[in-house]
Amino acid sequence: MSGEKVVDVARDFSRFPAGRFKEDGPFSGQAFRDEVLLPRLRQNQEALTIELDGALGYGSSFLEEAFGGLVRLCGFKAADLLQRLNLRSVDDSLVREIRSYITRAV
Amino acid sequence: MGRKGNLRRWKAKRIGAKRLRKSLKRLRVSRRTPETLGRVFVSTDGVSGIYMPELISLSDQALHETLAWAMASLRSAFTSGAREVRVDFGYTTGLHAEGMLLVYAELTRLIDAFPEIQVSCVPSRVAKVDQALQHLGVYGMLGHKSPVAPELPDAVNWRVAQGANVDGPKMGELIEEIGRLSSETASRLFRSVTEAVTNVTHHSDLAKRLDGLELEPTKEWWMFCRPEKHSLYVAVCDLGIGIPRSLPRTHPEIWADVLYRMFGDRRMTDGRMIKAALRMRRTRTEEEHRGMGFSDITRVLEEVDGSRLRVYSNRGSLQYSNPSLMPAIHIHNFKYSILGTILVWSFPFRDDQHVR
Repeated sequence: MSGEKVVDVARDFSRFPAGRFKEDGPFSGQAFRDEVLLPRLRQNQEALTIELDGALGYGSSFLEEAFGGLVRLCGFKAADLLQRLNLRSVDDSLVREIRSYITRAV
Repeated sequence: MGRKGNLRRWKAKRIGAKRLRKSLKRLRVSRRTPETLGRVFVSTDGVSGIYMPELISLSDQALHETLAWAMASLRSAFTSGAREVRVDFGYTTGLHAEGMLLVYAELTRLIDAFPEIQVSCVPSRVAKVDQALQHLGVYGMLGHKSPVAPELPDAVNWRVAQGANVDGPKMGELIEEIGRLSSETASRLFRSVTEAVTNVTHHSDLAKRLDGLELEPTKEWWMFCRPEKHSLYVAVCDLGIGIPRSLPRTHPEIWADVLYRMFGDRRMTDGRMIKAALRMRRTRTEEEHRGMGFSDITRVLEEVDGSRLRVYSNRGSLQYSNPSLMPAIHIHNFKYSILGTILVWSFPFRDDQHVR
């Protein structure tokens, strides 16, 4: 899997992502951020495509912790992250929501 | 004097009429649920028991009162020192998802907490209830070996899941099993349910449940799905401190102001507290990025036509409907607390919208 520039949430993490923190459950936003997103983002400075379709759904706690957490806790700048992440979904509102968590995270 | 006398007589008549109306209401309630239902019985051979209500439901004042009382009786049966607790479904003729979920959750919790107490049950005489209790595993939980093979749609359509953390696969697979929802509706429902359970896990250690059992707070949740011919019911329950008790703890600085803005005074009732909690969308918690879960819980209603949410928490309830159905939020307050929270979403099945 390493070296790929696409993260498919359903394939690489879970079809049923849920919860904010690792202690909430096995497929939480924090687990996705720390175990899937961070290693890929730190591997190189290139763009990363996140394939969001395929998972059953995403709660706001999961999304905020996974994506907003990159800015709040991991030292990424919102503008850089928005440029590097290519969020792909048939649901435009989901993409807008994730972008808003990144923008608003402080 | 004459006019004052007339006024007094008129007032007395009004008060009399009010009392009469109350007595008649009580009579109607007692006809529907005999005095014994929801009460503890103690037999001479060390068996303490409980007669379950005729209709296991929280959907109106009388039913809520009877079931909340029955659950209090069930807890006292387990702590009465009896060697055996018997749950009598002999009078039960109907089950609603939210009521049955409360019974299921309470029974699971008590049986786990008091393993030394033997449990037994008297089965229902009504086929659909008998089969549903067998299908849900309630008879098995109570050590009753029933020969009944569930086959009626009313019984076999029930689905159940339970867990002690935000177990996405458990909740997601249950939603997918339903199979009659569009992918968009299933996705939004998954979002609502998982956020509700995330809230449960984050608030579980705020305080102890006021049931006198002195058990440690848990993150347990229970979930029922019940597809019917024209609609789907999905219910999630936790036996935590309830929304009305958690709100002042999670939003200590703003909850009273929110009440004031919504109702014009700061008087707390459980119904008002639930409404305030659901309206606190993306408001400030101690951490800016948190406190979003409630908006997910109600968002599905705005996106799916004809959907409805009913929240029962402690002594209050709130009904929130999709604007196309009924543009209103109704709150109610009840006499007894269910000591927990139940969220029930309902969605109409429509061939053009919901069939995959």
